[in-house]
Order: sequence, then structure tokens, then C-alpha cells
Amino acid sequence: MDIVGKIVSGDFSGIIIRQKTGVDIELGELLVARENNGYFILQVFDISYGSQIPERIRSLAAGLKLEEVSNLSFLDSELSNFILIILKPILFVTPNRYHLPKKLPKFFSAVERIREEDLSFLEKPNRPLYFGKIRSGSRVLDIDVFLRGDDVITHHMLISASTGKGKSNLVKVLTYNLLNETYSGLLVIDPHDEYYGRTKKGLKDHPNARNKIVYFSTNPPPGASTLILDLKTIKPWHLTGIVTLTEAQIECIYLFYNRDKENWIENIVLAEREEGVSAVTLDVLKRKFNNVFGVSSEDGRISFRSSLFSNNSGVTTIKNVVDNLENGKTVIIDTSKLGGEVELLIGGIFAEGIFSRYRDLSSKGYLQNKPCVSIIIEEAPRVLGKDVLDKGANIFGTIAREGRKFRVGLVAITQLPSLIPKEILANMNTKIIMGTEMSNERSALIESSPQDISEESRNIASLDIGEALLTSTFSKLAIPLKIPLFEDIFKVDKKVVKDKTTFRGVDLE
Amino acid sequence: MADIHLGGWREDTLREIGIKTFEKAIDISIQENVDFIIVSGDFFDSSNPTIEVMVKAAKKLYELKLNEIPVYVIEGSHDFSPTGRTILKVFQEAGLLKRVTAGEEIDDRLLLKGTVDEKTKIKIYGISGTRRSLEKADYSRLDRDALENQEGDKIFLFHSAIEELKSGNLYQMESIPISFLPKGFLYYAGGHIHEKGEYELGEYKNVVFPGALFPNNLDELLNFKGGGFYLVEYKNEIINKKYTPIIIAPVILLDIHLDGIHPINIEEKVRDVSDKNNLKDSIVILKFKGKIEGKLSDINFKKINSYLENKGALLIKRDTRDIKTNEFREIKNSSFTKEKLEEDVIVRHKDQIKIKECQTEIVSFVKAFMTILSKEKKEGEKKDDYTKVVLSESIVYLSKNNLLEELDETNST
Repeated sequence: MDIVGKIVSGDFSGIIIRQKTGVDIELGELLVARENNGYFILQVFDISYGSQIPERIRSLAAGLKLEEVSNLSFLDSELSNFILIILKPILFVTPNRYHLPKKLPKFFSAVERIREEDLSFLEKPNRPLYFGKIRSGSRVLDIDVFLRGDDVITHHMLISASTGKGKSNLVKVLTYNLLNETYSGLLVIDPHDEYYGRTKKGLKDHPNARNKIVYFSTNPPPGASTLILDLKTIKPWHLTGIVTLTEAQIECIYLFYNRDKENWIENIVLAEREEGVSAVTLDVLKRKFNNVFGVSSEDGRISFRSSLFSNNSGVTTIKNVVDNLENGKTVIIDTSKLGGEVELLIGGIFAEGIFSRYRDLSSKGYLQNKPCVSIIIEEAPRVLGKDVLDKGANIFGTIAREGRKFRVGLVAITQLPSLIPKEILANMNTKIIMGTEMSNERSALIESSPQDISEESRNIASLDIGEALLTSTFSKLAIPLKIPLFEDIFKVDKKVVKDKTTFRGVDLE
Repeated sequence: MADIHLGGWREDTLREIGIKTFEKAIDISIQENVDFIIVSGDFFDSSNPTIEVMVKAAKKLYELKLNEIPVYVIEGSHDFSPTGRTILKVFQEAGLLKRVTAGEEIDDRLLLKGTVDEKTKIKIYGISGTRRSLEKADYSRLDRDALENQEGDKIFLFHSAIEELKSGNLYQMESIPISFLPKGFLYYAGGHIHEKGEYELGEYKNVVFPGALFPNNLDELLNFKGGGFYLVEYKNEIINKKYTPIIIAPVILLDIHLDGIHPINIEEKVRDVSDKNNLKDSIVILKFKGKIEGKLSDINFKKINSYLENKGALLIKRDTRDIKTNEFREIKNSSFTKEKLEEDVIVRHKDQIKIKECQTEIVSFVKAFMTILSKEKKEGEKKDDYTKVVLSESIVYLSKNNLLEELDETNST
């Protein structure tokens, strides 16, 4: 037994133990207090000094040591001065079940460090989603943390952390492991082109990548798809809440759309004048379309400035993305070469595509057989921020509110969760909280957490790179996590054995 | 040109028109004194066409040879043969054409050798199309850098649909992303898509599908009315493309609206519509639409055909798909892809399937298991080996779903 302390006082909000001399206990560490019929799992949320010597004497002794040469020392110093650890009881485990504790451990109980076998009750569920390993303080236990993936995905996730705390690594680990499963499609809007692994290890290196990953880029590597959309596939509602439009502009758009159907953008760009639309409105719209779609009129013909939109290519791109998601594939959209507004427009178009498809399938009763779909959005307040949603609803806001019914969920990644409205934050039923220094951001997370983590503020502030706290409606406790390094996966994974290719369309010599 | 499909069509007349279209295309090429001709697959409708078709093709190819116009080809999904025994090889050996698909495998990479046109010094490379788009594997191993680094003007021949360039109605067609093709070529000569189209996508300029030289089925006759090829001029680093349609027999579409008409009056209706057109030497397509009071067999098609033939029609085709009669009930299903229909059937019958302890949801299970069982035998694979593979994959899948024990209990054989 690795006894580290004994319970000396406290109450349900904080059990105080005296730390054994020579032992180091860290914030966030998991400890165990055993009883006859089971054991408590306790977590450290604060640490303080304790002493039996009055403070006045301690101050004097310290002064003497500092100001004068003195050999003064306390009698039985280790007995008199000690460390107090404040713990929160988080679980009571019996041989048959585990639940939130409704009693306190016995007074003076010995408290031990947790061992891996103490967490053996955490089983791998069906349709698992892997998060990382359990962490006790900074010690990593060899216990993998899984939750039931389709539940977690359809009830939305939030990943929050300050810069450099390991968000990208976490998303890579989550998505890489999801490639082992068939229960979910995944749409990754990737503004930094970091997930596919164009130049280094990435999702493309997963053994199932060939069948599971579809990569779209404006500059695709061999075998990947070109991110190009035919203007005819763009609908007016794709702009809603993403491109700022006045009422007059919206009316103009629908006037053209209702009359010209799929040619509405082209006809607006080419229109000289339009009855019922002011020249100013038409001109401003043309300018906006030039910015967003890169289109303008040249000698009475439409001209394309960017390679993202076209009038004869990319007719099937949206269908293609949506079909792949419906088939449980991971679709990565490299938006690194696109401007912010265009990036969100593209993400919104695909998100709207899958949401509409699933809503349609739901109305026909076919949805239950489909994989759920998760949409990963970076810097989520750009589409889920209070100020953005106040200007008008967009597809991401709709998915955050209604997506669960249609098996479509969001994974919102942000450094600033406080910018997201409370009701949407509360709808994110699983949160992975990484190191967050700003107290208002921590408060937003703590207030909207499915578990009571009100005592975790200091702990969250002190989380190191790759350390996280997982709180979820689908877990009985907030789980301290250590996210493995993505690159380390390849040190363990077996080398993929490539099939020998049979060349057919050529004459080999 | 591409998708000539010589020898296609069951009807002699249409097959003959197809051949004449080809002959005319060659005549135009000789007349225009082209430097060379490229055919991007499906020269023939099969890898082993009839003697009659081969003779006619050989005759025209020989004419080209006499005129010193080389012909560069790849195979397409129709005239490709996994055994390698194709008529194109025979013609190549006879010096009538040149296949540009020579390659070499170096360190699991495919290095295309191509060919150089002697007169223009243009380098021509290509990858044939195959059934079920198995050429994808070639592209995935293709050494693009080697091709891109080759100096000089280059043309690439391919016989595959390109994902980014597909039109909406070809959505379900197997395709490859354009990124599989080497970049920076002068011209990309595409085949397989029977609809003509010219595209430019990033570093891929002059991606051209000439479409079929002559339509290959009723829908194509209806939609395209005819076919053609491109005459391409390359001068001072500028490419000019001129589409050259070839009409041997004009296609005339007669829309016959039947709503409220009794079958015995349909002949009169056809007369009314056809009398407004000059049908001489034309292919007439009768497209019937609407609901008739009676049965389809009540329509006297023989008499209708005879009337149109007397008016000079070379051939009469009829499209009766949009005729509604009381004999047939409308299928209430909006999802007409094979996969969706299959899924609908599984969903409808899933309650009849009871599998204890199955780890997978029933519909997904049935679909996945069907995929395993529908695996096709590979070329050259022995029957026993094939059976073993299917069996072992089935066993692995069933045991993953805890179903092997149940099978033992329920099926002692």
C-alpha cells in the first residue's frame, strides 16, 4: 500500500488530509480511501500548509534564520509542520457498481495513490470514442478513456484551450482513432491544413485512410479532390448569417433566385439594371460577390478570379461531400488558402448539405441506419459567437440547437468559450477542457459543465500541454486526461503493408 | 476523338451509321492534313469486334498510313481486355496505329514511357480505361514527377470520368480526381464521357472530352442527336480547338403526347406530328409521353413504323418509358440508385431478420455481409482460392459479430 496521507477533517465540499512526510501530492491527483465494501476515489483540488506551531513563533524562527546566523531548528519538525491536501470525493466504487458518493470516508482513513486496477471498472463501450489516458496529477495511468461515440458526437463537443496547449494534437488523436470506427462520418473544416498530413504524418497515414478519408483542397496532392464548386450549386440560404447582407440585398437575391433559379449569382453579376432593385443595391451585391465568390463581369461575360468557384466544374462537389459523410467517411476540407468569410461559407455549404440530407432521411424514417456525423469547426465563435448569432442565425447555430435530433453534431474548438452564448455552450454535452489561463473563460466552462467542477478552476489554469479535463453528460465523473502525442501513435502502430498493385491500363515491359 | 465504339448498336442501320461516321471523320482528317490523330479509348465497342467491323476499320487506318498520319490510341472500358488480347494490339503489330500505354514498374511506381510523334516531336502518354475503373490503381502509383519533368510539349490520353468535371447526371459514375493526372501538359485528351466538354482547372489546361463520335445508345441519340471530334491546331504556343460535328443521318425527335388518347388514335397523332418534318434519311425517335386508355400492346407500332419508313425515315426508334397505362402501378420511390433501392429493400424486410447477439445494427450488418459475399473473382485467381477468401472474410465478419455460434446452432449442415 502506497499510503500518502490520513483524513483529518473537512466536509463534503472538501476533505482534508495530512500529507505524509516525504511524499509529493499534486493538484488534480487521484487518491483512494478504502472501506470494507468498496473505495472512494478522491481528487486533489487544493493544497496548503499546516503546522502545530503558532504562526507568531514560525515567523520569528524564519526571521532568526534570515537575519542572523542561527542553528535554530524545530523539535520533531516533520511532525509539527506538514502539508494539508484538500480533496473532493468524486466516486464510490463497489465490486458491482460505481456511483457518485453520498457519504464521507471514515475519519482518519488512510489515503493511497490510485492504482490502475482501481479504475478497471471503466470499460470500453460499444461504438467507442477514444480520448486519451487517465491522468492523476501529472502521472499518466495506463487506462484508456472511451465514451460511447455516437452519443458524444450527436450531443456536440467543445474543445477549449489557450494557444499552445495541444488542441490540434487532441483533434488529430480523436479523429485518427475515429477512423477505426464505422459509426460516424466526420467533416473537418481545416483552416491550417494540418490534419490530412500533406507534408508530415497525419490522418492520411491511418491504415484505413484509403477507404475512409476524402481530402478536398484548392491545391490537392495526387489522388485528392479539387475543392471547386459550380456557382449553380450555391443557394441563397448558404449566405445566411455568414455574409453580411442588408434586407434590400436579401430581397434582391431572392428576386433573382426565384426567377433565374440556379443562375441567380451569374445573372446578378451580369445584370446592368433590374426593375425593383436600386442601382446601389445591385452594385453593392456585385462587389460582395466579387469578394466572396471572386466573380465579376468582363465584356458581358462572367469572369472568375479564384479557382474555388466555376461555372462548369465542381457540379457534384457538394453531393460528393455529403454522400461521403453519409457513408461514414472522414471528409477533410483544406481551407487554408481561403479568406475567413469564404472559409466559413464553404464550411457552411457542406454543413447545410449534410444537415438537410439527414433531416430529409429522418422524415422518411431512414436516419436510424445512418452513421452519425460530426462537424469540426475551428475558432468556433466566428460562427457561434453571441455577436455573430445576434446578426442572424446560421447553419452552425441551427445544428448546435437542432442537430442532435438528426444525428449531426458539432465539435467546436475555441480559445474563447465565453463568446459563445450560454444556451449553446450548455448544449455542448461533452467538453474537453485544456489549460486555460483566463479566469472568465474558465468560469464560462465551469458554469456550463455537465459535472460540478466548481472546485477545478485552479486545476484548469495549471493544466500543462496535452493535459485535459473531460466532462460529459455521458460520464459519471469529470475525467482528468493525458492526450497522447499524435506522432507517438506511429511508433506503436504496425507498418501498413501495401497491397501489390496490379497495373491494368498500361503495357508493362 | 474518343468513344468511336465501332461495332456498337444491335441494329444494322445504326451500326452502319456509326461506321460511316468514323469513315467521314477520317476523311475530314485527311482532307485537313492533320499531323496525327488521337483516340482516347473505346475505338471499338468490344475488344474482339466482328470481321466486318475490323475490315472497315483497317481499311481507313491503312488510308491514314498511306497519308502518313499516325494514329495514337489507348484502350477504353469497352475494347480493353484483362488478358491483353485486343484488336488494337493486332492493328498495332500491323503498323496501323500506336498504343501509347507503354510503361515500366520501378520501385512500385509506374513510369510511363509514351511515344514521341516524329513529325511534331510532341510526346504522347496515356493510360487505358478498364471495366469498373480499375485504372485508378495505375494512377495511384503513377510517377507524375517524371512526366511533369519531361521537357517539350506533351499530350495525355485518358479514358476515365474526372470527378471535378462530371455533370450532375453522371454523378453516380465512377471517376478519378483530376489530381491523378500529371500537371502542365499541353492537352488532356479525355474519353469515356460521351458528352463533349472543354475545361480548364488550375494547372490543367485544355482538358477536352470530344464525346462519342456517334451516340452509343437511345438516350445519347435523344440528348446529343449526334457526335463529332475536335480538330486542334497548335501554333505559336496557342491552341485552337474546333469541334467538328459529323451528321450522317439527322436525328429527329418526335414528341408524341398521349394524354387522353385511345391507342387506336395514336397512329393518327404520330402522322400529325411527323408530317411537319422532313424525315428523309433520318433517324426518327418517337418519344411517347402520357397516359393511355388501354394497353401498350394496343398500339400498332408496326403500322406507325411503316408510315414513317414510307416518308423516308432510315430508322425508327421508340421511347415508351414515359407511357403510363393502367397495367402498371407507379413505384413510389424517389431514390433510384441501385444502392438506395437495395437499402430500401433491406430496411423494409429488416424485421424479418432476427439475429441474436449481433454486434452491428441489422441493416448495416446485411449491407456489409452482402458486400463480402458479392466480392468478384479476380483475374487469374483460382476458384478454390476465391472460395477460401470469401469464406474466410465471412467467418471473420460473422465472428466479429458473435454470430458463428448461432450459425452452428441453426444450420447444422
